[in-house]
Amino acid sequence: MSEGTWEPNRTPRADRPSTVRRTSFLGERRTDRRFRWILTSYLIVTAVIISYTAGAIADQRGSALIINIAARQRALAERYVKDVVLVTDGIQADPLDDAEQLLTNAHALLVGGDVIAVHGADAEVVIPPGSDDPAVIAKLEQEQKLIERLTEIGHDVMQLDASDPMFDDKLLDLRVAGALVTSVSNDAVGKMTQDAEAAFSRLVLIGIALGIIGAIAAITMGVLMRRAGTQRASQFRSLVHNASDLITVVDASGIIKYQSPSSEQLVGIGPDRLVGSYLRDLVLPDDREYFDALLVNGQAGSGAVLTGEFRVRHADGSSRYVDTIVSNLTADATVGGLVFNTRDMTDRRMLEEQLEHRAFFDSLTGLPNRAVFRDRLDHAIARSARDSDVLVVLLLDLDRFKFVNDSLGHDAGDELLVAVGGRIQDCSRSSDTVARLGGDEFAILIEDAASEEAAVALAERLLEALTSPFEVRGREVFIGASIGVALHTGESGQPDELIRNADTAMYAAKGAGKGRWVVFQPAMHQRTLEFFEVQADLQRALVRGEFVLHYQPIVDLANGKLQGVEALVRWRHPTQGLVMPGGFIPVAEETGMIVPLGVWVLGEACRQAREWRDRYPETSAMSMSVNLSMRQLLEPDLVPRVAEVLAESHLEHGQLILEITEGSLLQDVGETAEKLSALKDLGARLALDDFGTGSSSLGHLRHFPIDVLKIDKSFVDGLGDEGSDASALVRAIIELARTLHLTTVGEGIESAEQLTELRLAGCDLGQGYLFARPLARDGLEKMLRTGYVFLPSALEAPSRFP
Amino acid sequence: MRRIRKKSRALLTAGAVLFSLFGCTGHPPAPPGPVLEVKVKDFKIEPSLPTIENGLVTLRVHNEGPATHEFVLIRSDLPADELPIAADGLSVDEDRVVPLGELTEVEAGASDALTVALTRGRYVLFCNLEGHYLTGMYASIEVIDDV
Repeated sequence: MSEGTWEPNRTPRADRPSTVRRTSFLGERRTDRRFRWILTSYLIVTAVIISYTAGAIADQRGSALIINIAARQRALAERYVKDVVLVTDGIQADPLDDAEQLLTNAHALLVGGDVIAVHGADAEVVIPPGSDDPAVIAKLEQEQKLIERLTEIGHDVMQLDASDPMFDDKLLDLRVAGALVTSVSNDAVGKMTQDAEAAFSRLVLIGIALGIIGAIAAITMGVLMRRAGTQRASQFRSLVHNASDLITVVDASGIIKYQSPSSEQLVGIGPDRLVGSYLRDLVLPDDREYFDALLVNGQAGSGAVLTGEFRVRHADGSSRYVDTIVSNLTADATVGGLVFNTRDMTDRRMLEEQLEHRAFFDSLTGLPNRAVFRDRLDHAIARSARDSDVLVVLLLDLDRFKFVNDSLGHDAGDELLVAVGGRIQDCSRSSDTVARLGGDEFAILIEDAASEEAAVALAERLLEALTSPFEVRGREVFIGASIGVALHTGESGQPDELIRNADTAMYAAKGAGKGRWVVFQPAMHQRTLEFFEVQADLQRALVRGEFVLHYQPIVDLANGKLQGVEALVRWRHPTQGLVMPGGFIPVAEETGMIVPLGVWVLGEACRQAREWRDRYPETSAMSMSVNLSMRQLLEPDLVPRVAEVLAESHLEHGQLILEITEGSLLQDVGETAEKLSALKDLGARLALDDFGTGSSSLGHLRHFPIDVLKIDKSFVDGLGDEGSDASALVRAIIELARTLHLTTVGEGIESAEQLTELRLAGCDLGQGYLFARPLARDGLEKMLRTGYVFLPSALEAPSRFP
Repeated sequence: MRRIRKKSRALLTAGAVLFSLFGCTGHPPAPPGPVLEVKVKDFKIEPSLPTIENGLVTLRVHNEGPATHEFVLIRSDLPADELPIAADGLSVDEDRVVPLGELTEVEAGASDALTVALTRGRYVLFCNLEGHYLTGMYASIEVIDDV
């Protein structure tokens, strides 16, 4: 990505906002729990105190009333005796009313109920039983009996005449009975008062205890709150101090008000020297305009958050790529400025650029690769349709290269290829595109060829240049080349067709005896015809069931156990025998046959996985990887198809892994992401196949829900070679995958050295000839039956795994 | 007259207290002389025996309730139901009898003891709360010489 192309308002990256939003610390959560506990206890204690006090006060009031009523019984009994005497003396009184009150109250004191009061204040009240103390109850029962006896005697006395000889005796009985009621009533009241006093003392004691508990809870809570406040502040300080992210607070004009210590690492300048200076001064001049926009936009609204990427200058003169999250905390009194949360992205950007270069340029010759060539050809054809230019494609295949390679070794071959690339470039103009398509095949695109003659002239120059001897490893090496020339003259035509035509012409040149050029003629349609033949064959093969699946084991590099298999399609051709995918997949891709073929592969692989799971339950965790072509991914009914297959086979969640290439992801990013998410929702996992060979933008890994990263064989091939940058790249890729929580699979492992390097780099899984070639069903079943463990000896090499 | 009675009563009480303290230093106080169990209830007093030997006699009073009662011991040759009554007409006139010992308040369900030196003669036990004596809370015992 070059400067100036970044948008200040880009959506924050999925892996970043955490630094902004996540503010909960473990300790804080623990303190919060303790707070809740203390607060709850405090509230419970308070509630208990209040309800207990309220209840006790009500009880006390109730018992005061009851004691009052009980105490009145004595006065009532005395009044009754007096009233009876008055009545016998002929003076008006109402002992019957006294008697009724005495009896009613005695009954109510025992079992509860209405009481008749002597004085008006609490007349006609209902009371509960006077006591639950058995001693008091016994006294009250005694009192009730005595009152009954008293009123009986009173009744008798009132029946007698004062002159009756029995009268005096009866009157004495009455007074004695009255005295007994008085005495027993006093006794009962005394006991009731004693009980009430004891209850009150208990209330006071419990009240004091509850008060103390409440006070302890309140003090504990205060202490905890204070401690948590201090802890939170120190946690924040320590977080900011120890963060590798750079945290900068600037005022409205961009002057640094606070700078975290990590500035020492990122820009080589300590916080002391940065505070008071302009943050802008750290930004590279080319990015300053962009930074200014970020500063202005960052202040747009209080609380706004936006992200940006730019470069800063390190004190040692180097520059660093950073991305930043800008939060407007101007309104927050404790911050009072814009907060830049900045992270060093340099390593990631370097890796991205390296991978990008690898993806577009041939690592050996530095020439554009097939993808770039194809891209430029697409654009050129589109332009030529408008401008009616003559487009020429030259395909150049070296003669005798294999001989050099075989006799002098690969290194010599590589050296030769570099030299050939140089000579081809020398012959071409800077406006031409020279690419290495692979092996010893080169291509040249001329976008503004004046005529066929000009193209032929170039072909001649090339042949001449390549016929001159090369010096490789101190020897003179003679090779030559065959060149196919295909012209595109502004009429409609496909890029593939143009390349195919050049290819056809090139083969014609080889067929004609090498060391020459041939311009494509429509008559050279033989290969095209072959193509159609293959297409028809493919259709028949699908109907006749000539396709079979082979399964390449995917091995857990930590323990050598079989972790899964990748299903690979083979064509059991009736006459040609077993045909490898290279022999029919390109045609199937081109003709669209890949779609029905892909459906068959998916269905068969899932069926087989299910069968194995049923038959060998101990391998139930074994994954089944199935390749999904770009064409398949574009099919509108892909998701329902996969859903159908999964429903039929009842595979475990995550057992099916769909492998897609990076190229597939570039088609229609929005729709593709949606489809991939839908596939994941169905329970499939997603693997990015041949990682590192496509466009290699690491953005894919973030934007798509990928689970597994398969490191392309071309990286693995370079492992163990001295002077190769493959090790560093593989390590960087695995490290990156780990930060994104992706499982890594090394593809095409062929040697123990490669295995060792992958294991040391922390690669999770691997596949390749070192472990096993793709196996027919029976071959794999044998492994499943025996619980085969791969290459124990290779795995004994020192590794980072325990 | 009243002053004298009070004085003698105080002395008697002090003596009883001293005795009980003396006897209380050990575990269960082993009464030094003969023991008379006395049951008190509403409204009766029932000694376990009508006679007892002279000497340092302990009267162990058990109130079976439900009311609280008083326990008074006097020496009197009068029949138990003919003690002089006070002016209120409801209790024994204690100025006209000679109390030898008294338990002022025996709670219902509680027991208490009174230890006094008794010589040969007739004694009356009663509760002197108003009305209690007149209701029948009295009993007499006889102290006899050692056999």
